[in-house]
Amino acid sequence: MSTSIWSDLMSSALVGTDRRRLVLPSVDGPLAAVLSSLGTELDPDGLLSAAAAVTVARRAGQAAARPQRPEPAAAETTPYAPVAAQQRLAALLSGGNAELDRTTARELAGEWLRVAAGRGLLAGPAILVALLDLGSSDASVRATVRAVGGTRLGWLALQGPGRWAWAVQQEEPVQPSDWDTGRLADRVRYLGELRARDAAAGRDLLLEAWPQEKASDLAALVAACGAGLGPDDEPWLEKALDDRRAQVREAAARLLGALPGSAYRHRMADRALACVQVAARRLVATPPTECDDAMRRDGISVKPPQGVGERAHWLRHIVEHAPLDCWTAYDETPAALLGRKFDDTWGPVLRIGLVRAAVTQRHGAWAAALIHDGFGRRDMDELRELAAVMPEQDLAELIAAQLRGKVDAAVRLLDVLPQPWAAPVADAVLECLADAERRRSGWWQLLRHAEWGFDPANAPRARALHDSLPIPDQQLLARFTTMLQTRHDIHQELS
Amino acid sequence: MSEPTEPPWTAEQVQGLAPDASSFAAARKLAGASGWSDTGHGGSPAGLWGLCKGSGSKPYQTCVDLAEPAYRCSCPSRKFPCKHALALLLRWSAGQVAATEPPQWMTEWTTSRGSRAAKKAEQATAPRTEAQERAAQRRADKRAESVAAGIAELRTWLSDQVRHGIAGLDQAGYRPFEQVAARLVDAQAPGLAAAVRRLAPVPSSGPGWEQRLLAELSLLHLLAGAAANPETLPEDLAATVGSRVGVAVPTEQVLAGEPVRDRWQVVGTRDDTEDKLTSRRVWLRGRDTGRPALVLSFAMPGQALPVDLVLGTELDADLTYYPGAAPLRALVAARHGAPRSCPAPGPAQTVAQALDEVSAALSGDPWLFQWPVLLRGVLAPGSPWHLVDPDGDALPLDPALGEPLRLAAVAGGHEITLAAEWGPAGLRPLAVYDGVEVARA
Repeated sequence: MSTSIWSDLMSSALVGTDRRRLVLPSVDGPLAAVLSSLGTELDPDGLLSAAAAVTVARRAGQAAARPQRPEPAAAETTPYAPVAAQQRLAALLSGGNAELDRTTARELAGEWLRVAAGRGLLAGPAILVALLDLGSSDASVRATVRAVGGTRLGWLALQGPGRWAWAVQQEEPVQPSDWDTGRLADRVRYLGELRARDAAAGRDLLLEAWPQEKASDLAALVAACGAGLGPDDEPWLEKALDDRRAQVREAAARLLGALPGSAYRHRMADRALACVQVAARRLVATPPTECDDAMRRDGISVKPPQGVGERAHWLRHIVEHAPLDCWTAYDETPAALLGRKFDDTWGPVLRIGLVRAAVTQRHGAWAAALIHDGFGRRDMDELRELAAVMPEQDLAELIAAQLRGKVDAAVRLLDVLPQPWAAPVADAVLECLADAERRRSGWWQLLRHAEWGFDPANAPRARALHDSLPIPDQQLLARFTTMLQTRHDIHQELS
Repeated sequence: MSEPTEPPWTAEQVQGLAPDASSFAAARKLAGASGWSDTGHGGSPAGLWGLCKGSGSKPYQTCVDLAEPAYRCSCPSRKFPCKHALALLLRWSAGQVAATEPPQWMTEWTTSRGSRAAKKAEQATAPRTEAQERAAQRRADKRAESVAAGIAELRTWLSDQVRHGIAGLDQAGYRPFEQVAARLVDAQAPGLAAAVRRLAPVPSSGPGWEQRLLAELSLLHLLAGAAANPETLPEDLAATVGSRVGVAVPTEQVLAGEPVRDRWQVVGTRDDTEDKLTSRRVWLRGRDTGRPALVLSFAMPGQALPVDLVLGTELDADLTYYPGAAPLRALVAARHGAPRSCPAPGPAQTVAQALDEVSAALSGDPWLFQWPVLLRGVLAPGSPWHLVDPDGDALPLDPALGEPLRLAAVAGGHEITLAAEWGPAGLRPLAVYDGVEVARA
């Protein structure tokens, strides 16, 4: 009843009573007494009075709705992080404060998530919305957010906006259909996973498809067979070396190079030892004068890249891909070989070849020897590449030694040092920071790296150092100590 | 230790005391810092104290009276409570403050506060002189005249809107409303002015605005009509109309009213800023009487809002209601002991009970647009979302507030206690209780 009166009132009020006069129909029910007292033809005041009566009646007579109840979230099976840790995360996610800018707060939230995920602890329900929003804007944290969000995260994402869908969907497992119809990246992923599970099945699948594949696709697919690589793969890879497409040969050669005891490795070692010989304690190189069919078959390209002579190119390729252990034919250790005098003409090429070999073959002992051999002389990119394959302990000791000398050179190696940094590095950094004389070039960089590189257990030491400095110097260390303290607290609170 | 040990407040409750977000962030940091010494809690009334190392040589003395609560700190901050007091509360909340005997500086403060309070009470009860009475009467008469003129103008404006049609108001912006509101402020009818200002955003509130606007215009018309002839109204209704128009009721008069003693549970608080004036609504519900109450306070820019009623606590106190036909606004007239934490407020209502209560309140005060409810049920997603009680009855949540995802996360689809404001557009959540904790909505 009130609905029809209301629409009469509404249509008159919209255009104005001047243009549409309102004659109230007779009504019964509880509103009858009020409305009939207003008369039948309503002026503006009458209309407003009638509207007020209907409005109050509707509000006072509001009926309950009867919607469906939702399915509740399943109970969590892993424990929640302690309260202090939850509060910490909430504070980090709500943005920066005077001491930590927004970006840093987010990075620290990332640390919280990693540590909590590693320890199997959950973030509380009140934080989940913030975490879902974080994951929606930053895909790199999604895996850890899923890990700490528990079952409630997915439950909540189902009720929330579409941008949270990533939290509902599981990472899609690779489908066999990816192989037949997928893009190259999907096919590579499928083949890689199949190889890891069942190397023979992966090989058969590839060989079956071989005739139809393009050169570039085939090269990528052969490379994917690095997963599950074993002696059984040698025959088909050797056959692949007979392929007329250079890309395919190179890919096959790379895998054979990684296969211990392969005939390819023997051939490359023989070539290397033939090219490089010891004469009167010197290393004398005699690069090949032509690239014969056998060399081509083993993935050596005839044409050098622009600006490189062809003989230098062949020499370098041979040294790079010859197993580094072949040099024990001349010297027991890498250091001994590097200690020899090198041929004046081909020496530089030989050195580059050895550096590339250490990097490509991820040979820690060689990388360490090469770095020690020419630390100051090497170009920085090369140094970083070598450092990245060095055993962690060696690298830490090297950097610690360098920090006591040239800070800026050492700093540039710090980002290849695995975190948290080994104790010798942390010691050297603190020593360096304590020394006012050495706060020079590279010092800021050192601090920035140390914020994340330090094991947070060092926080008390950093704080003690900070407190021991004169006030102006303390300010330089303020951010570093705050960051480290916060990380320390995060780790503590999550235990 | 003369008082029984109270469970400390939660961090959430402490956050409710913070004057702004940055104070709380600073306090959180300070609470974890190493600069604290000689902290303790206890004494009577229950207090909390500690020394905090600042930038100077002398540490700051920070103390909190937990009963009121009240704060003092020797730091120079003008924030109130300052970050030191908040940090101290946070440490207490985290169980890092041991119970001991209060130091001398703490007891001195407690004593001086007690005597100041007594003096103030004395002043308040002193009778007014005859001359003061006469002057007050003159002012009241003059004001009544001015208000009457404002009301007459408002009635004409309302009629004009309906006579000429409201269809075009969505093109007119806030100006027509602002002009009328400004006239009403001049006419000393701030309540009416605020009511007109509340209309201003309605035409731009999306589909159906005409319906909502006509409803509000008609209620304003009803109010203006009632206010024009207050002598024809029953006493209670006249008081309600007076408060809606914006006639202030002297505090003494309110405090002289019939006290209602109960364990008053602070079930929700909400701050609003309107025209530079910040208002804080504290919604209470009596555990024994089941009655709702609203303690309203205001602060100009730079002023601190009172923080003595903390979300998630209950207080044994006498409340006196402002006069009216659906009494809701009240003052705390007397406290009986310190606040206690109250993680599970009650009695919770069913949707049917809440609707009955709203309906009864509307019959007293038809202009009511907020009424506190304390419901038990589950949150059901949809547009709008609903709170569904165990009987299956449900009330919608106000869709204008967006989806209540944070509440949904906390509830997890399980039954919760929801403190909310009922309004014509739906519920506005204030806080949710999952049986262990209170979370601000």
